[in-house]
Amino acid sequence: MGNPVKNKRELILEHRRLMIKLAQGDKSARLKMDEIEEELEMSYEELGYLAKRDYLRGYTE
Amino acid sequence: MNEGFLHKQQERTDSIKSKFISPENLRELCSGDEVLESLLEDVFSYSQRYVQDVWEMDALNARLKTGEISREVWKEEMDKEDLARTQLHNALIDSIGILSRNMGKRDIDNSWVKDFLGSDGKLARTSCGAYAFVVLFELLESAHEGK
Repeated sequence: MGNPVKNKRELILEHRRLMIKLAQGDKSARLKMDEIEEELEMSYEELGYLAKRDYLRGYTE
Repeated sequence: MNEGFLHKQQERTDSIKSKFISPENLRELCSGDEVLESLLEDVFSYSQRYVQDVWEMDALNARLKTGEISREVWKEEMDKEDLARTQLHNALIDSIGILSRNMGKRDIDNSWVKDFLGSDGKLARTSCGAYAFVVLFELLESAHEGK
């Protein structure tokens, strides 16, 4: 049994890597993203929120 | 996560997006010119890679915070990542500057670049970093809508 916090963070990071692939036009990324969303019990919007929040730290006025 | 948080985040994102030309508008301005289209793809590509690097760095910081890695390991990784990320950030800034100059040479409106300039008249690192975010999420929205 792994560390649940670590596992969650790794899944979130993997979801973000897949977001990049999807943005690059790789539609197969969407399926894997769905699986991660299900495993994390979080929606695409919620994960997008976290992704934006984490990125924007340091970029806002 | 409640609706209020999501709404607030959307407002914040919209506010950042409103400061810059939209990637879609840039695409329209470059459309039909192979050189400009290629330079624009460079901007998009560096943007995506830069955002990914920032997320990877964020995850590394989180590993340190939770004690999964020691400060020594974190520093070692960070030193490696930092150089690569700085070079990528520079490449992103250069790609925006090169696109703007080439648009100017062709008498295509490049006034949008003013929104990227700092008080020293140079392309500001923070603005270019924020634009990477705008690019990624606009491309992502288009890709996601086409689900």
